[in-house]
Amino acid sequence: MNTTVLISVFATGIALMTPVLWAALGEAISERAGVLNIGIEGVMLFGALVCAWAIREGAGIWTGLLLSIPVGAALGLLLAFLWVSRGADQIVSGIIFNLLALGATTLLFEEFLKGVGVVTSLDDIRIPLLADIPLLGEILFEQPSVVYLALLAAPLVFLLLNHTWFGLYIRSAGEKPRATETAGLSVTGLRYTAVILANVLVCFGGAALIAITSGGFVSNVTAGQGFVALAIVVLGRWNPFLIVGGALLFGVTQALQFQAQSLGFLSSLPPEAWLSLPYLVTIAAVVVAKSSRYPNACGVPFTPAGATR
Amino acid sequence: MSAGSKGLLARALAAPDPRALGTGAMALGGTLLFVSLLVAALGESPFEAIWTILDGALGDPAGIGQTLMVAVPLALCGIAAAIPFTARLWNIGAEGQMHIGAFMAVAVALTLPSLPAPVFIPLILIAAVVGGAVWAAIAGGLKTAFGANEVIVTLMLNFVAILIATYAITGLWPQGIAPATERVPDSALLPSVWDAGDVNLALPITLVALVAAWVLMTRTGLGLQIRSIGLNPFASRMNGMRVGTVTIATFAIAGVFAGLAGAMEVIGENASLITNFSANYGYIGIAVALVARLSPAWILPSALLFAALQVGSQSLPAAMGIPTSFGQIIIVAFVLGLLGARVIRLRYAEGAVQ
Repeated sequence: MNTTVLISVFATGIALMTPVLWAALGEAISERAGVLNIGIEGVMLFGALVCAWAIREGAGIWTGLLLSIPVGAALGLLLAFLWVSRGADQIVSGIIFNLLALGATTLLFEEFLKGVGVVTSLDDIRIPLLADIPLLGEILFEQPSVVYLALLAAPLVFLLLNHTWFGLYIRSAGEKPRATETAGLSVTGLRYTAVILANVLVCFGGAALIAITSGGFVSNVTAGQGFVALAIVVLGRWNPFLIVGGALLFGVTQALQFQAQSLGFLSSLPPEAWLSLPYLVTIAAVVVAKSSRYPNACGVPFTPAGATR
Repeated sequence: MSAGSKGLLARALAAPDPRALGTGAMALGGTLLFVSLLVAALGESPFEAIWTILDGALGDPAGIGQTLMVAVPLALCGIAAAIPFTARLWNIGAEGQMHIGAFMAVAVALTLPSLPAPVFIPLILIAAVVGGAVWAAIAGGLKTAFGANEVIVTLMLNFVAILIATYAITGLWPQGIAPATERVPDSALLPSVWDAGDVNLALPITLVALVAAWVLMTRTGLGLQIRSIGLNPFASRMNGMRVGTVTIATFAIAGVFAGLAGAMEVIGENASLITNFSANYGYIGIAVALVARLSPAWILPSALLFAALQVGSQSLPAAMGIPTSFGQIIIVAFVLGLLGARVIRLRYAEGAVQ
């Protein structure tokens, strides 16, 4: 593998990891608060649809990206109602929500977006000076803006979770919700906030997928990337910095398929083998991360004291 | 017949309690409202849409037959979800297990020399069932050995399995430019049992499989262990059950049913492995299992309900210009409503996901 291929794989990998990174950062917030947000795939689909619609209507990529924020918040509110207020089983209702999202986005796509439309993607922004660094410059500093934003968001989420009162409260709601309640905090309120914030990031990730790849929307365009984000959160041990590493691993394995023909004897592998590589790596990741422990109350509905369901 | 077995049957078929029916009605009302709004947004009449669906699913023998044939994979995938869910093992992998079953079926049917049907068909089904079971057992094994979250593993394996099936279509046995493999030999095809409805042997096989699932869950030691682990894994372990072994076995059993579903799609109507043959049956099976409240006895009615909506929706584009995915949205919104109304609720032991 020569230098050009290496640069190309990593540069593409960093671009491709971005949607998953946004989603994984969101997922980390919600899981830290004790809500396993399996609906992540469906929320990403809605984000992608909204962004594709905005581009199609000529409103521009950034309108699409920004529009995904209220959409994500609304979906987050719906999911929070199901999981926090109604105490519905998070895994099962998350999977069912994904089915609903797949059906709904397909329907809206076929009804309003089908056919060839304007397809554009975000331009690469070259950061002066930094882009001149050999190797690293070309890989890191000639990327679309959402990529830089995602890399900025990771430390921000880290600060939010680990160095603010809000982060502390959220983490306590995810570890020992009963104690959190005894301390006078509203577990319901904290989890609502966390789930809504999380899904804003997830939905933005879905929109970023369209903004980066320019492929336009197709049915099930996310192809399991939300589920990959679930695994990356486990691999990154709910730490945003490690999550960046996990997302990069996924992005690079995804990018390999585009360079398959320059990989010598491996080039004879069928394309399906390359396509399945990111999923196999994800499985390997959850196996390797066997010592990482979910937040104690993650996935368990919480009934506030005195409330009955 | 002893009083005990009568009680068991009565319990298996017991109606949900009245309070649940009340909230269920609310969920149904909410779904109808949601659907009406959706249809209105598309500029069509909701009543006409529902009538079109009913007419398409049950209006003539062809519709009824098709509903029955769609209920076959839905019921089998429903079992593939219901049995592990009872043990609180989240097998989201029926879709993949189904694709592996289909792959094994087409592999056996196309590589072996053509045998007489009474030998060939069982051979194909056994290969598919073994393939599905082994594929599903991977998730159970990884969970037992490494504590790997089975939700993530089964989801990822789905994508890999679909790619393996795609490879059979594009690489191994392509049929020209059609998105399908070569046609399987005629002696591999399931014989028809009802010509007017185009119903083949898959339906009786499924009925037998459903009875087998019911017997397994209510009448065998393994079924007891599966239920016990679902209620309390720690107490089960303390009572000497091998939780790890049962976990792997539960996944393998789920894979048997899903693999069977995949094979019967290949050697049924399609006569080959075609791209996207499953139409998300593996995932909809989860909804089927939930509406049946994980009880094997209720899987068939639940699957028929879903199948009728699915088949009926196919008349929507021609009749009203509404896309087919509409039917799926209705039913899934209903299930989500049932989950939110806590009509469908799964018992929770205190503890984390893993």
